[in-house]
Amino acid sequence: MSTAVGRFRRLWLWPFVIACASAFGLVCALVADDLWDLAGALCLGLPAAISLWLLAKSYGGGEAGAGSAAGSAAKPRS
Amino acid sequence: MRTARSVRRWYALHKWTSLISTVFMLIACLTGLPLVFHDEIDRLENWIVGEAGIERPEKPAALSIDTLAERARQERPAAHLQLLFREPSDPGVTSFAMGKALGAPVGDSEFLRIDHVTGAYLGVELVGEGVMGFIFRLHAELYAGFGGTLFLGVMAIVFLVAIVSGVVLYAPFMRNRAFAVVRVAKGPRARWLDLHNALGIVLLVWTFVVSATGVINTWASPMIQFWLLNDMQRIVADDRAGGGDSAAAGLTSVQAAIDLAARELPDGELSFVAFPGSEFSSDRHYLVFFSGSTPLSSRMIRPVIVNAFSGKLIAAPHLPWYLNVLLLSQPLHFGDYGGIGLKIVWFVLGLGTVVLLWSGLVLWWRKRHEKPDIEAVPERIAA
Repeated sequence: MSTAVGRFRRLWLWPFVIACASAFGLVCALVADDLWDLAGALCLGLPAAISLWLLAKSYGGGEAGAGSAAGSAAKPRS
Repeated sequence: MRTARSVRRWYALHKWTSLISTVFMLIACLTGLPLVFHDEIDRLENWIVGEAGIERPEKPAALSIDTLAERARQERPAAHLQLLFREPSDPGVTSFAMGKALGAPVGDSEFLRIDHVTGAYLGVELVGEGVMGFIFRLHAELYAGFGGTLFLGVMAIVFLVAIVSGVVLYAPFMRNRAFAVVRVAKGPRARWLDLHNALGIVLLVWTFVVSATGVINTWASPMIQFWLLNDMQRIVADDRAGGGDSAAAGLTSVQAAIDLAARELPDGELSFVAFPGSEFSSDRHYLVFFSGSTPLSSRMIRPVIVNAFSGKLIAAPHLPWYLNVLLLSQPLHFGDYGGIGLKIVWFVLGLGTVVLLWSGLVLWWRKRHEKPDIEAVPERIAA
C-alpha cells in the first residue's frame, strides 16, 4: 500500500505542484495589480523555468532531471 | 489498472489528434510569440513610421468629445464616424474609427488618433498593418477570413484532446522514472521522448488554458452578432415602438451621451462608443461602453444605450454570460494583464510549447523512419 502511495506521489507530486502554481499564477495577476502581478509572474515562472532548465539540459548534454544518474555520458549527436 | 489495449487506444488518440493539429498549433505558437509583446512592438513600429506612438503623459481630456469628433471629421470629410475609443496603452489619445460607409466592417476602417488635450491630429494608427498586422492575421485567421478563424478553433479543440490524452499516457510512460528526467545518454529517441513527456506535463495547465481561451476567442464575432441581433434588438425595438425621437433633428451630442452613461455607471471608465449606424450599434443609438476600474472589472465592459436623436437613456443592460466569458478569456489567451514580467514568462511558456510540439513531430518521424530503439508500449501497465 505504502509503495503504491509512494509511487503515486513520485509520479504526480511535482506535476500537481506545477499545475497548482500555474493555475494560481494565471488567476492572481488577473484579480489584482502590483504584488499580485509579481506573484502571478513568479508562479507561472515555475513551469517556465523548469522548461528552460529541461531544454538547457537536453541540448547542453548531461542527464537532466531529479534523481538522474550521476556522471551520465555525453549527449549523442543525431 | 490500465491495460495495454487501453493504453494503445489512448496512444492512438494522442498520436492522431496531435498529428492533425500540430502544424496549425505550431503556426499559432510561433506567431503568438511576437504578439505577446504587440503593445511594445506597435509603439516601436509607430515611432519609426512617424509621430504616432510617441509617449504622451496621461492627462484628463480638456476638450469635449464632440470637438475631437469634429476634428476627426475635418481630417476625413468623406468618411463616417463608427467608433470612438480610448486605450490605457495609448494615454492622452482618443481614437476614432472612420469607415467609407457607415455600416462597413470596422476592420476595414482607418483609425485616426486625436490628442484629447490639444485636439491635434496625431496621424493614423496602424491597425492590422505592418509586420504585427501580418502576424496577427496569420495567428487569428491564417489569412482565410472567418473560415480560417473557425478552422483554427476546431484545430485548438483537437489539440485539447491531444493534451488530455497526453496526460492519460503520462502515467504508463513515466511510472518508473523520477520527475523530469531526460535520458540524454540513451539515444536521441529517448531524449526527445523524455523531453516531450516532461514539457507536456510541466506546461499542461498553461497550454490547456491558452488553447481553451483560443477556442472561445474564435467565436468572438458570432457571439457579438448574436447579442446584437437578440438582446440589443429587443431593447432597440422597444425604444422604437415608444417613439418620441426624430431623425430630422439630427444627432445629439456624443459628449452628452457619454455624460449620461457616466452618471448611470459612476464607477466605470469610458472604453468605447459605437456611433449610430455602425457595425456595433443600431441606426439610432449611441452604445457607450464602460469598463470597471478594478484589475478584473477593467477587463469587463457594460453598455449604456442612449437614443442618439432624443438624447434619452434607454437602458444599461449587463452583458450575457457568454460575452463575459469571452472578455475574460482574452487576457488569459494574450497574457497582457500582468505587466512586462508576465509577458516575458508568457513568451518562455510559448517557446516551451513550440519545443513540445516539435518534439512530438520528431518522435513521430523517427518512429516511422527508424528502428525503435526503446519504448514500446508495455503489454500490461499499472496506472
